[in-house]
Amino acid sequence: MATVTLNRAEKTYANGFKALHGIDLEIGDGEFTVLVGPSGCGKSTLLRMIAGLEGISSGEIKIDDRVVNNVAPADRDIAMVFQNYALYPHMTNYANMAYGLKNRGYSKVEIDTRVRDAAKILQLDDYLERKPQQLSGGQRQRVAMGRAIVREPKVFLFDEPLSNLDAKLRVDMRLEIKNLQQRLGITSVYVTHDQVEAMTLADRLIVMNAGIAEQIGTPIEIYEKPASLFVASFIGSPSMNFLDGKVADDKSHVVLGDGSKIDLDHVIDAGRDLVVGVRPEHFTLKADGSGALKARVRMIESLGAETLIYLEFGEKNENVTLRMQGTHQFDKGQELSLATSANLVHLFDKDSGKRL
Amino acid sequence: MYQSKWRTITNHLILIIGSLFMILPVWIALVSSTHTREYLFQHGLQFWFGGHFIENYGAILFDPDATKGRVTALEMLFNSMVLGLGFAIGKVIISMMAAYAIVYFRFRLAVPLFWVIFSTLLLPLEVRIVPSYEVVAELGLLNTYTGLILPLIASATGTFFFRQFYRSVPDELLEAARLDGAGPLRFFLDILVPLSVTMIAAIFIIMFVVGWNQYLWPLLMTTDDQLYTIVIGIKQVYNSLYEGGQIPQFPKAFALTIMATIPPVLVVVIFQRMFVKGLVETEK
Amino acid sequence: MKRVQFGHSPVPYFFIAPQILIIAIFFLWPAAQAVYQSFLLEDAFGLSSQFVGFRNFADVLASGAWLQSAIFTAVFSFLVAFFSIAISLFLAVRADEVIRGAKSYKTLLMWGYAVAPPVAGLLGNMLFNPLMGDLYKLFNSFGFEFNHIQNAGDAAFVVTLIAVWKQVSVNFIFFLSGLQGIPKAVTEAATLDCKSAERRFWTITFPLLAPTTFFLMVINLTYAFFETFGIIDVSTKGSPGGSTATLVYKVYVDGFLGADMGSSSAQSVLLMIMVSVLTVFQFRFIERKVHY
Repeated sequence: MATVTLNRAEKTYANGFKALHGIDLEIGDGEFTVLVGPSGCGKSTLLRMIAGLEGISSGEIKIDDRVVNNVAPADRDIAMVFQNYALYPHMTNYANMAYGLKNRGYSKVEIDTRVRDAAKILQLDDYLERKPQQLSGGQRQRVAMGRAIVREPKVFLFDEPLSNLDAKLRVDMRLEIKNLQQRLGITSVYVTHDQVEAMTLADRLIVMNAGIAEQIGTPIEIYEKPASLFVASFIGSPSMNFLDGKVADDKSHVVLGDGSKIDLDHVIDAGRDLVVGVRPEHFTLKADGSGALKARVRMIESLGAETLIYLEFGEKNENVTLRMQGTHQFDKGQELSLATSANLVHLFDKDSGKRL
Repeated sequence: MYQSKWRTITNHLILIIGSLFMILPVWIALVSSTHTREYLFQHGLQFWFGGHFIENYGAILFDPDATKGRVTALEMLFNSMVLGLGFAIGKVIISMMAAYAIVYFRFRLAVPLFWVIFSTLLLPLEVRIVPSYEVVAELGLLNTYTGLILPLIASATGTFFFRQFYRSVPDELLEAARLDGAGPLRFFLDILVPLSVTMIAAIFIIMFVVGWNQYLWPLLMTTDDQLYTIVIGIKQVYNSLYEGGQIPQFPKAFALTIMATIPPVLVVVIFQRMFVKGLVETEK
Repeated sequence: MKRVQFGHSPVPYFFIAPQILIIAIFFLWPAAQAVYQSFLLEDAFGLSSQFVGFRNFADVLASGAWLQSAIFTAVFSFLVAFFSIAISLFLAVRADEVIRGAKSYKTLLMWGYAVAPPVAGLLGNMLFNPLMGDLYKLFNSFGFEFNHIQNAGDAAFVVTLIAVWKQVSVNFIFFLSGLQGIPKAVTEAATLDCKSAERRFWTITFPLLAPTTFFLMVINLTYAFFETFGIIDVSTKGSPGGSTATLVYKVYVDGFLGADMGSSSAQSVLLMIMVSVLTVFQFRFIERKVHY
């Protein structure tokens, strides 16, 4: 049971590249925290710094109340699950799980109990004497988790553990990990670039970009109130629609490129340039043509349960995506009339990209 | 894949001719070694076995006179075995260790020491035989197994091979081991060495053959017959072939040749798969 | 270069020490001594020596014998590399195509790797023995008046043939594994695009084997330079008149049999320079990105 605290944690590599620009973070006891972001955003570096596999350039990392900046990885009482599992190929699965305990001087009996308990939880009982190569991807993933569990660490670290699995298995393992973490109640930090994984697993989500934590919050907070253009575009699929606009003189609405108007529900300076964000699922189709936005159908993707309609809007042919439940049929080039409501519209400053 | 009948036939024909080209010289040596010298002298080299196999090989193996020295072929085989094994074992251990230091550690002298090791690739033993001989002589190592084996190990081919292999080992394995509380020595012994087993075997086989077949260095080094390897023995027999106006001892020279050839060839053929893998991957 | 390494500690020195020690004693020291001696001239009894600058080098380069040996080495190396590569490529292509007996052919063609050079030399010597050598008789029965004991060209032919024979198997192994590394889909696509097998070989297969071929060129040149010592020493011994002595063989003859240390060392140093250039060239090509 532990908390993890980062105070202005920075990472600068020897070649001068600054991977992390001062991260402040507090992870509560038993919390499942997910770091999400595009590749190169520094999320893996951050995780590896918590593990002690990367040094920290400035700031501090605390596990519980102990500063661990200069503590060796093996002494931090953490366990890690790697993307490619990093199982020792020449050892049996049993030996793989036991290795860390053996090095720490646990008794044979204690090791055996712990490994067998973990194997039972992970349904690996029958595979303990085999070697990793003889298992399927999902089973190997479980062995890697078993290796972490037997240690009974204060913190679990996951480095994109599901990205080597196929789509179906990924969903199964996702549920399994969530289940396990809730059962064991161990503080966990999980790195992924997959936003579905991030949304479903996280108690708390940290969206990272270019070495900065852009937003920290629950998945729903982040979905409903993205703090910046980056977060808004990264979370949600298909991505949020962004339209350039200007606040009208009477401050009651925004005028878009083609003159159409979108209502505002809070007061912003007149004449200000901004970006209007609307999620594809927050448009409604107005059959009577009363919608604020007029757009032409470019392409349709029918997924069965829902239909994605790609449209072009205005003189500059800006792209707009619309998501509708059920199946629908439209002609190419047909003009549709779209409406949205003021409380579902996100407004961002055009220059800083920050939410208004 | 589709192939015309004609192409298939020529393929086999060409490969059979190629195989004969490789095998015939050794075959002739093998069967000729089972005839008497008088017979060979009168009838030339033979293509089928004669009846003196036991006689010729027995003499070579156990009678020092037959090899024109004070050692029997049996003793020479033993020396070759020591050279082959010593060379292979020494090389594998030393280069595994050095490569480990180079790949897995950050240390001050890493770059200069890497270049020292690299420089040995530039200059094979053959170009520095004379001074090498003097150094070994000064150290009092002439006519010793140590003096025979150590200078041959000085080249770094094995180190580069293991360096290449270690670099292909995923980084995560080291990270996982560190989280599991393994230090440098433990990681080497528990993880890296067991992981390298097939590579070790492959390089061991190659090095054994290379060691067994050494010629120039043992030739200079061993003035004492007791240390002759079987490959050097060939030269001795060859030198004395035409001595004393007798009929040359061709059958015994052939017998010695065959005995020098069989062990390394067997090793290569038996461990063919491993050997080929090692060879192709080492040189890359 | 590893992303992850152990930090500073004395441990790496412990691991690298044995190798460095052996290299220092048996490589650096002799190499330095060779360079040093190449600038010295010993008197006839080897009792005293004096510094003579580049005189040994000048003598070596000016002597007809060294030049003759250098030319022979160059021609010999080229011929050995060319023929052993050509023959083994030809065989490897066929061996890659056959289905039945593929394994046996592979074994039959690759075992030669294990034959020691002096063994090859002795076998060649016997086959060309004037008393009873089959090849000697065969050539002369065609009226070639073949005589490698006296004729330099014939002697060079014998040495070259033995050296090629010995090297075919190594090249064969590399070519076959190179061929087997070409994706099947590529060869299949090529059969759809091009009817002639020969044309397919030169336009698709051979270019794909280019890296292997280049690599083998370097390996074969190195082989012809150094490892043929054993072949020469047991077949022609450089005769007649030093016409089949490679540079390495000449270093041995002058330094050990002739005891002319200064000249031998100067020759060694010249060889070192030549080989270094060759190896650096090879290393550059194979490992373009040296991280150190």
